[in-house]
Amino acid sequence: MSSSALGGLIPQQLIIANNEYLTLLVFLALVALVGILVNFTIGTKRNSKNTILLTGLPFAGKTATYYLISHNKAVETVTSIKENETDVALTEGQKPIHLVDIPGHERLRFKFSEFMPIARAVVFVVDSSTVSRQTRLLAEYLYDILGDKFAQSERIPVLIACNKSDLLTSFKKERIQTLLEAEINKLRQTRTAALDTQDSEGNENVFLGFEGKDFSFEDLENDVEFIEYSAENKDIENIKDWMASVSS
Amino acid sequence: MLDFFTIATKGGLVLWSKAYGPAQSSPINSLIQEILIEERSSTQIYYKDNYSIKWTFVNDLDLIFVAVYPKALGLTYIDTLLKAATTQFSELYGDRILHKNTGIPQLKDWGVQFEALLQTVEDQDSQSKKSRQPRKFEETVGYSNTLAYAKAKPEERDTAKSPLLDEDEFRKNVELLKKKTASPRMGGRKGKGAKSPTASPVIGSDDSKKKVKEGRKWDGKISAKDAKSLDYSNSDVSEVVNADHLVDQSGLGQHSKDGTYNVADLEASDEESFSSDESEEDYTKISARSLQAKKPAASSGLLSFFKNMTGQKEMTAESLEPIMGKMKEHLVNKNVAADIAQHLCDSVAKGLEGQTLGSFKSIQAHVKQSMELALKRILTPKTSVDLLRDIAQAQAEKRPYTIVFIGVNGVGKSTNLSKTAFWLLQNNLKILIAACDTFRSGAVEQLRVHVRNLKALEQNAVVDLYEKGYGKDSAAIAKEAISSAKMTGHDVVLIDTAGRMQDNDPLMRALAKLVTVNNPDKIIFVGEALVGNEAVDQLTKFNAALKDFSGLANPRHIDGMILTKFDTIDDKVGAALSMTYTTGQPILFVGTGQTYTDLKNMKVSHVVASLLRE
Repeated sequence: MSSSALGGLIPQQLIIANNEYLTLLVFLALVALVGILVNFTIGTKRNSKNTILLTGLPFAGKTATYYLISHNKAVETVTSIKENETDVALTEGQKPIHLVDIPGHERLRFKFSEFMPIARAVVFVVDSSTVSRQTRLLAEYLYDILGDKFAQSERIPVLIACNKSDLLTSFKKERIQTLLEAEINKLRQTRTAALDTQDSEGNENVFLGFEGKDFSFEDLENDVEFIEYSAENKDIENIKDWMASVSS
Repeated sequence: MLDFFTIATKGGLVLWSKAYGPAQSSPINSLIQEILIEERSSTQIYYKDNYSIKWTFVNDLDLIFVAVYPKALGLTYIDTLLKAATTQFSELYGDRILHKNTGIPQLKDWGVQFEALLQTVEDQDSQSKKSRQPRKFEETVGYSNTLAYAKAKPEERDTAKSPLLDEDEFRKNVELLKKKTASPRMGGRKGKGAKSPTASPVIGSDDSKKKVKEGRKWDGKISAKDAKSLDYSNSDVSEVVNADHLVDQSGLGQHSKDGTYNVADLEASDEESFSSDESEEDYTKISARSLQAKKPAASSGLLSFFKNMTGQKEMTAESLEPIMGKMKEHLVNKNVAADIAQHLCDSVAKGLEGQTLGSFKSIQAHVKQSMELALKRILTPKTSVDLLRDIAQAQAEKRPYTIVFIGVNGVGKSTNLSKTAFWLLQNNLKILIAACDTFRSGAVEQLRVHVRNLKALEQNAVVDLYEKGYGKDSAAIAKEAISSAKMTGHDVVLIDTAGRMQDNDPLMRALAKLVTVNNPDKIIFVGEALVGNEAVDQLTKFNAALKDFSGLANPRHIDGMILTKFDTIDDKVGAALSMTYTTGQPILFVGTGQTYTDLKNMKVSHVVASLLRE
């Protein structure tokens, strides 16, 4: 050891202690700095809230839509295990939005609620060709989104984007709207009658719309819009327009 | 032959895919949905239709490699192919995939590369098959004992011993091995570690010799000369072994006067003793140690301190293993069935291997985080648990909705049936309870008391008991109850069955018959939250009985579970995980007490928090 020469003059412990002390000091300073930085970045993210979520059932075309918007490219996809996220400028010169593609599988669906606190808007992608078979699944997911704590308090706008309009068997958006409204009408009865959850006061499900009146999307405080599009034909302009209008 | 080979991101983007042979739809989606999302990836192989599917993760790049081949062919080289493909792919495109803002990575020449790779792997495979011919006498041990062998020249001996290993191939193998064992980054660290001042004083003594400049050796590439030096297969035994460096002289014990040898005491400063308490600190120590174990004693400089602190640590199977062991133990302590805890830990570890830790992140915090995600994933129901909506559907179809309660003895089937009835009554549904426990004395009377109580609790409540006494065939009673409910306009039929042990064959057959004959809308398994390893056995055997004894093409299975006695277990909620993992079905309700209102919806976040609590 090089310090052995000095061993007689300065006690070993002092050198070590000194070194540790310095290290600790620098470390603490760094922690403080990083803390401030992180706080700052999070703070700004919260304030501007430019996150737009892509949600929907599996095989609705969320990931395909995501890559069309972010990279302007048609891609082949498989079921997602993880969310995709990126910053994308919708038009030249506009402030970029933060686009998040949430996996559609039931087991991974809870992830959307983790993004709701920072969400500016939610796009709910629907496979127009299978709506009649999936009405209940669609309505249940949509109910979860519309009934979310943040969707309620922040009045997060929701776009119901009916994908695969190129297919012959696809439903028109008006038809999809009536199907969903009828199903949500039934769901809000059963949801509010469900058993209490453990360790909580009462039921956590909210009642959408007005009591004594059939459910309609117009009754909601959130702005809900329907559009038809086709990711297959790269016909996504109306989604982009909607995103631009809600994020500006 | 290979059918499909696909490289996809975890986000769902297919980076590269190739179909060989007739193009049917790739079964990769069902692989993802049934295995990967369900955290069952501790299994090695997945069968779907006529395909066998194998896969590997590249976690630092968030990629999945999937190889699909026909079930009928037991291809042995798939593992090698996947391994080689992942290594080569991450080497070629790793950087580009990490820099996400460059857009979707272009894989221009990967197709060609892959073809070449496939060719080599296949060739190797067929060669190894050839080499499985019966050995010649010259290759056997017997031959080496003969006079002919002793007379033969040494070179000939070598060739006789290993006719397949020529020098070129050997070099290739070593190169592959090097690539496998060490990523380039790790190679750099090792170099640094050797120079550390804390290394043994022996190094200091031959410092002067080391000053001589050495030819640089690049990672992953080997010259023919190196290969020779590494090739110990034909090195001369006569070479004098320099044993000095094998033993640290200072650490040697002493020969006492009478000639016995005393082993030196273990110095306390070497390693802090292994404490056995199961605290978080323990985790930390182990993780820190296992991470350090990969790179020998880091230099004590300030820079390296921060490097250790913030540097990117790569998680490997070795560094994860002790933490996963702790995690498993922790889960088992929470009453999770042992083999499920093992499967889950393996699966989570598989998803973490190769990931680099971010700054200021300890490995066990990272493990805990991904375990939390995995638990959430497993416990979140994949089908709707909205029973009332199902009943409304049945009402619209003008038929009674039927629910069968099954389970072993004494778990609370009847009690929770009546709790469910109470809840349904509050929703203005007309209930018929079918007493199909014709076995245990007092079972019918118990239900009669419940019906009387429920009638007293709710005004205008329509709840009736359908009973035919004891000793009758329960399947027939259930059938009659359902048709009677149809006549009388009851909305829901709750069928109470006799408790039975899962190994009782005749009773399990009777249960399967009841289910087959009546085809109920929901089969609810009632299980105790107190159950441990037994949970898996119960559920698998009940499910197996429903399947094996039904005689149907599409047999029924358990649709959901009620977890009873949930108030008695504090935070040992492992049974909830064991049950959902075994069946893949949701826990509909939990029973939390003695009164009719003590039936609750399970809160996933609550259970996850309880499972992970120290």
